[in-house]
Amino acid sequence: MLPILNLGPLAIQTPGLILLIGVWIGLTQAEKYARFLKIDSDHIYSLSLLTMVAGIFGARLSFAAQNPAAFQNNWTGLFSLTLQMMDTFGGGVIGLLAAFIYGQRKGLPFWKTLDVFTPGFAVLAIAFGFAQLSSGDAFGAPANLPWSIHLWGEWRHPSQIYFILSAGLIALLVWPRSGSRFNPSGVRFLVWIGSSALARIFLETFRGDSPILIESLRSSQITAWLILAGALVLLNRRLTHNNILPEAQTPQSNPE
Amino acid sequence: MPAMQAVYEEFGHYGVTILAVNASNQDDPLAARRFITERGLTFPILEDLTGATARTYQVSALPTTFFIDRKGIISKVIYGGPLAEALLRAEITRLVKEQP
Repeated sequence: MLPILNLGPLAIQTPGLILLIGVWIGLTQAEKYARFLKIDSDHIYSLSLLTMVAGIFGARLSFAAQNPAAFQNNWTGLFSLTLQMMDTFGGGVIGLLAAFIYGQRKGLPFWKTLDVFTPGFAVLAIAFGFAQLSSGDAFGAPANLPWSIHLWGEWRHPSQIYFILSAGLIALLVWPRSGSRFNPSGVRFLVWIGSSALARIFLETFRGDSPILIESLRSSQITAWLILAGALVLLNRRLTHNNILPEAQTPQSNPE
Repeated sequence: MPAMQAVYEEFGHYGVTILAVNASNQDDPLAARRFITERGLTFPILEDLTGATARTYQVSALPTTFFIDRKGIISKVIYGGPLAEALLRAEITRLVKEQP
């Protein structure tokens, strides 16, 4: 656990730094893959920027809407640089809405655009795991195993490392390379989101912090089951409606 | 600190306590006391003379803020500062609303 990186007089929040690096690598990959799939990479860059800005504003506004009393005496707090005053869910919804509207206006192909971002999402998921490892969040249940880590006063499952490993394997699965056959468009993204949901269902059992709903069933496992079901339904629809594999869309060479 | 004082005065009657801990092992206690007087701070400010408290709470940066609920469980840790008053209010309101 390394929540703060002390560099001389500077105290840098390590999780934020790791996420920034993840966003940067993810965006670079998305732009690279966009060129390969012959989508205007400028549109991809603008779409990413708009989504992030809308997401950040949305997250703050959503937090303020849930905590109006906190701002009633001092509305300037809305512009505070504090990262903790963000509602991730609200920010995500508003960011995705902005992205959807932008994509519609620019006529970007929906499924192909999601495919373009998939390698970036995969990188970001790995970065998210490292960010959680550095902050000590999403910690594991107490366990006395040879690979347990000492965190928050106890030996625990290294749940963040499990997450990083699973995100890494999923990234390998969906990474664009020669011979990887994900057709028609959208399948790459759906495979990524479905695999991530499946991994989440399994890995949640090792967590020591997430809320348990009934017996050992956790709230995020229910969300993950719903995401997995949705991904499978859409995957089936994409594959059957497109009658599978128009080879023209298959990447034949490595975009690297 | 002014934000903490304002929140301490506002939420004190809900049973909210603010305990500030000065890292006296790496600070000048006299300067700290002068600061408290100048700012008119009335909440308890403790002195960690040996650094034992910082070690127990695994403090790796100053300031670090711990929000502790009614059961004595740390519900949130915020590294670095200055702490936004709105965040302080939001977190304390959330803890006050929790069922005893």
